[in-house]
Amino acid sequence: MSSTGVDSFTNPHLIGPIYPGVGFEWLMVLIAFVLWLLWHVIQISGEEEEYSAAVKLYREVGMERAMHHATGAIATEEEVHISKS
Amino acid sequence: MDNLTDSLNVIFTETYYWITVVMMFLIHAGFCTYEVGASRRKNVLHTLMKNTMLIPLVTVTFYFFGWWVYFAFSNVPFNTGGFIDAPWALPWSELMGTHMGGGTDPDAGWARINGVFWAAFLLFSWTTASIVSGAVIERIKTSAFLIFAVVIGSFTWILDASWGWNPAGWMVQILGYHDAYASGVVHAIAGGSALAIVTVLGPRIGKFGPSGEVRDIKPHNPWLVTIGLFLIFTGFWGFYAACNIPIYNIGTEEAPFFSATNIYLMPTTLSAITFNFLMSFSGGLMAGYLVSRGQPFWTYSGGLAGIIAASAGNDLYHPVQALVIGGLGVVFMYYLHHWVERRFKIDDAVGAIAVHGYAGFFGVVVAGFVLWGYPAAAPVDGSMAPLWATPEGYPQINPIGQILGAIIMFWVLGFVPCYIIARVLKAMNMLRVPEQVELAGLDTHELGDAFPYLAHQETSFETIERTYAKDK
Repeated sequence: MSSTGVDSFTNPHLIGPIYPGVGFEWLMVLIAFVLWLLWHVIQISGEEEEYSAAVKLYREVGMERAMHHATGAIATEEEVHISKS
Repeated sequence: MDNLTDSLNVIFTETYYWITVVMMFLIHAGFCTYEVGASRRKNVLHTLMKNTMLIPLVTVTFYFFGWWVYFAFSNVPFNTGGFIDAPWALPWSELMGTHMGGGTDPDAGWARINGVFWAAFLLFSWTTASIVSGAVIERIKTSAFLIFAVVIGSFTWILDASWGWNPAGWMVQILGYHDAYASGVVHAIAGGSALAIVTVLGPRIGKFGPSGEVRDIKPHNPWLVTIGLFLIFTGFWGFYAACNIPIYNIGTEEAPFFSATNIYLMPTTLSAITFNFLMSFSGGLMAGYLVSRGQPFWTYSGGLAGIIAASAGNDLYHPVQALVIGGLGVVFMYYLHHWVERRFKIDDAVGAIAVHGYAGFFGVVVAGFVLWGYPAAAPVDGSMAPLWATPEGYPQINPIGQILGAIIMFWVLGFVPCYIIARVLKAMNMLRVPEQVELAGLDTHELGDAFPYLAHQETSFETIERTYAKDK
């Protein structure tokens, strides 16, 4: 019983590929290719949402407070937690 | 692998490239450290993650198509022969995985070299994309940068390598192009790409005053910047070694003569490139120190630019030539950087366009004059005749070929593709972060302050600690 097609290493002259799934490389590459594109779609969408939320928050609290928070200058307890609000 | 001498040669070559890959990792560690140090405190973590994430994305895309591009495009579009068949480099090839080299595959000789050779080229890909990363910090969207990283790291740079960093490439065979340690094929193309992107992206808010005066935006940690450059210098040794073939018969079958060669299979030695690496580095540091009046940022950058300026010919130069060319390249890039910055309001946050682009361009052109007449590579059967040939019929290194080569690297494959993509991304509002986010800092809304314990405020965790301490 074998899931790899390889069950002996005794004659290395005849051994070529030894990874699992020989013959299905095209399928593995296709899956990886789709995952790569999907990663970009999710990342782009997430970043756009993140900036939209940030801009909305900064409009609410005002840029002066946002920048005050960013520089780490003396801040109120409320400002410390701006990013969590 | 049934003959001890042949096996030792194969396994030594496999090990040689493997070690260069490990050493070149330091270049990326250096770029991350350098960029993080150069950014302002409110942008540190965004800067780090932007550069880090190019690693996996360029790796997977270089696996999908970058490696194949290197072999397939060397004739296209200007030489006869069309696309070259390279089955070992296709992502679905059995040789792009664990393979013992046995069986009946006619390309099985690639089994033990394919992975390490692929990885050595991949690390050049990371470097090329990472150079661009520094120029665009503190205002580019991560998603936009990662698109550029894939295009540059897995297509444009490796296309230029196929053309000009491959003994069979059309630029080598027809123009006599010579660029042994990648002044043009890595550095000039990265500089041209970065220039295109920052031209469309625009400067950071406040970089230029109302009268057009240039404002200095200080790095948050200059010491980290210099550590980063030290790491890049260290990794550069691996970069140089990876550009060589460690053992190759440069004689004939009847009278063999084994030597290291450059990427074009023309002779050099590790000893020669060690001389020239250190002398061009020294020339760059000395010139950088003088022209910048001892500024650490430009002195260290000068060391790097000195190596880059001499890299095209560091396989053949005399060490004193490497020293002088490295120094002159730094003077050229330093003054050109400041002129371009003032004249065109280009905000290159880390000087990447200058150090890599201008010094790389300079290095390619200078090599054409200093190395004029050397054979560039052995002629390939069926290739068009070179524009200039040696008496034996080899394509000849020459100034015109080098000037054309530098233009192709910096402008044609560097600037133009990235300018078009940047325009498209800008039109789709995908290029630059919103103004409010840039002002508040790219870390502020999500990742938070990278150095909360240095802030003049109490962090939420310190509040917890203080509450806990009340009972003690």
